[in-house]
Amino acid sequence: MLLDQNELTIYDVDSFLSLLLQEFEKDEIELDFQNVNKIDMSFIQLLVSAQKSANTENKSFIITNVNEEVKKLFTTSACTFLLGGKNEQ
Amino acid sequence: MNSDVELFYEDAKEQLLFMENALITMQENGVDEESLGALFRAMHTIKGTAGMFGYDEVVGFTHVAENLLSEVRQGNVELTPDMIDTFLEAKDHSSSLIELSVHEEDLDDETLKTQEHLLMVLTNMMPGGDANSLQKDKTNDVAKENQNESIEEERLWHISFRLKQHFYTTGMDIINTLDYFNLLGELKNVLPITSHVPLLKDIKPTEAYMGYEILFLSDAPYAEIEEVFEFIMDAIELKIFKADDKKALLEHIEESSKDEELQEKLIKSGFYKNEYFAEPKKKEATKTEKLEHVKKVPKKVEEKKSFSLRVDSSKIDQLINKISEMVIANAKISQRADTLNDSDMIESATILSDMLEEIRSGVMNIRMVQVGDSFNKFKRIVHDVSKKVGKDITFEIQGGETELDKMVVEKISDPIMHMLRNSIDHGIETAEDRALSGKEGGGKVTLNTYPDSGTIVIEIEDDGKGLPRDLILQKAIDNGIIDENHKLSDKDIYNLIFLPGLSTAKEVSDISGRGVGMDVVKRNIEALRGTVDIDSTEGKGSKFTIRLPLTLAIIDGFLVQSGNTKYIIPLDMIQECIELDETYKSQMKGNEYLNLRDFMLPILDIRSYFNETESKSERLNIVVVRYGDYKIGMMVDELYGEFQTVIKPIGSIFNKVPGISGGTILGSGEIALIFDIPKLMEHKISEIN
Repeated sequence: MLLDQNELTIYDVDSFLSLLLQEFEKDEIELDFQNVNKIDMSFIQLLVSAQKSANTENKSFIITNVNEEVKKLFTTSACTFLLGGKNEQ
Repeated sequence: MNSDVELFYEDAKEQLLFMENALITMQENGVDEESLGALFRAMHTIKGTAGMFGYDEVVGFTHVAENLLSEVRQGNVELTPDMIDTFLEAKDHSSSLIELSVHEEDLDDETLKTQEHLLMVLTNMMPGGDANSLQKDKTNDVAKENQNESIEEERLWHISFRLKQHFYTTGMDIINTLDYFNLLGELKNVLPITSHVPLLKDIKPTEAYMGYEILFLSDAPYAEIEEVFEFIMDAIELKIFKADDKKALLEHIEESSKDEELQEKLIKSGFYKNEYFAEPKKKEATKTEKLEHVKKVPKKVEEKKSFSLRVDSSKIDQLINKISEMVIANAKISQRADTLNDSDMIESATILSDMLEEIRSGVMNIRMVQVGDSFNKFKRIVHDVSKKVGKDITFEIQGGETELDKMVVEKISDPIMHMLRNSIDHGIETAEDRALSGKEGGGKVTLNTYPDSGTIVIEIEDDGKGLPRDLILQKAIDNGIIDENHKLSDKDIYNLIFLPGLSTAKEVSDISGRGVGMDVVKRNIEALRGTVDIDSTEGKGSKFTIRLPLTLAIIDGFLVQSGNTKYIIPLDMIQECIELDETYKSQMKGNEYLNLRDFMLPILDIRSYFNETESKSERLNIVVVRYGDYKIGMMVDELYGEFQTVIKPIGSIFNKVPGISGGTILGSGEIALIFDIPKLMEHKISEIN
């Protein structure tokens, strides 16, 4: 799924959740971040939930094309595990 | 701007003001601990709060300034007058950075240039400082500067927080908070606690579930770390303790929820070694206060809540409005009770009106601020302007503790600023001229505020050359404002400068003298129902006296009747009431003067002034009022007594009626007109002259 919003924050989480739930009808969930330039904690939290759900349902969950700016936000929040990095929970 | 940013903006402006006051105080009286502390705290607070909002430009700049200040505080650098000037510039620059940040604008070229210049100057002032060190990585910079002060273990803090469910309603992003720690020290380990994040099918995405465990290396004291969370204190559960405080750690783990498996995770993420928990308590908490810290946090939140709060002033206005309506409604009840002669009801109405009075003064009090806080900014203006015109000027603020309605204080600011500039630019002479006229040393400008019979008086006095009486006169005649055969007193002539287009400054400077201004000043003051007056002696100096009413919405009035109309006189201005008996009448002999204990009291006959029909009352009364230096007696028919008066504006058709400033509604539904005492006096005095 290509995320087409520049910023994904608390204002978007509700609508993003419905998109995610639709996406979860597939077995392989891929979120393409190429258009995303800013995220906040509420959005990261939603990604954590998505990753957890994928794990319990035995689905694959990957985030791709994260730019430096957003990567920095993942690093600061110590949530790089969402990107398939270390410190997996 | 959202409300949080607005809050930040307001707070930052206040902090900038503190900074400026501290700097100016030190500029004048030399460096002192207290001002230095205040300056440091203000700079630090701005840096901290800007960090919370991710305003990197502000943080980066104030950080450099703060570093230098901290060197000054430690006595490594001396705070020279030049440095104070630089800090003043830094303060201005911080202010523009904040402006740009909150309005989400990029730095323009000029700001960038100033920034570059200031950063260089500030860095050069650092001990062993040279501009190159600027290039150093900020994080390293902070971390390094204190490196050798103590060994790592003792500087390691364990910070733990869980976002409360409603966290996101604060509008703050915790990522910025985490990022901010990089400026305060070094984040050794950050562990997100995600155990409480539900699966997609159960999640409520606008509620918060996350938490963090952090190992943080810093020399910052407990309070400073806690301060990072200042704005989100009631939206998180926070614990801060030294990492070597095992007791606190065990307690923390004990208190954490089971699903977090906190101990295992902390070990797994390298916070603590496995053995640390297995070992018997080797390192008992050495200081008892450490444990107290852990417990103090939630308690402190409660205390802060009742501390102080910022409220939109319009909410208070609404409240005052409502109370005003209640005052009127209650007046009706009182009246009705009187008519019915119902003693129970009269008593209740009296109690109610007493309580209303208490509420009213309570609410009015909220709006009152000490003028000193706001007036202190003039110090900077005087400092800058006198520097610009090259005059040596001492500026003194007296009566800063006088309280005045906040709105009035804000609105009176511009007129005062204008008059101060005038005093410095035109009033005070240059050093040579002063020496010539035998005056010693530099000029002196005083801003004096004090309460006086229900009004607040603000005086701006200088010991300069005074107003050029003849020049003003000539110009007024040239402009056709007055006739050559005028009979104006000196005071009247000075007051001419308040007319539009009458600047007497020979040279127009960029500070004042454009001839717009004094008329605007007067209009602004009159819009606040105030008056302004001038006293001047050529060669000695001038004094501008502004007189303002204490409040704008409700006044304590005194109800009187003359002819068929009821009038209100502001109670604060009333000195006494006299019944005009036959003795007095015979003394007057038809003149409009009264011998009041050997004082010639001019009398204004209200009935004839307002063309009232014959009175039905058999008595005549004199109400003696005082305003400023003047005293007159108002001749009215009936005195009714004190009345809480809600000032209502009257229609524009009354604009041209001098002597009436507003109206009010009485309990009976009748309308009473409020006297504009200054105007009535003006009329009487000009009549005498």
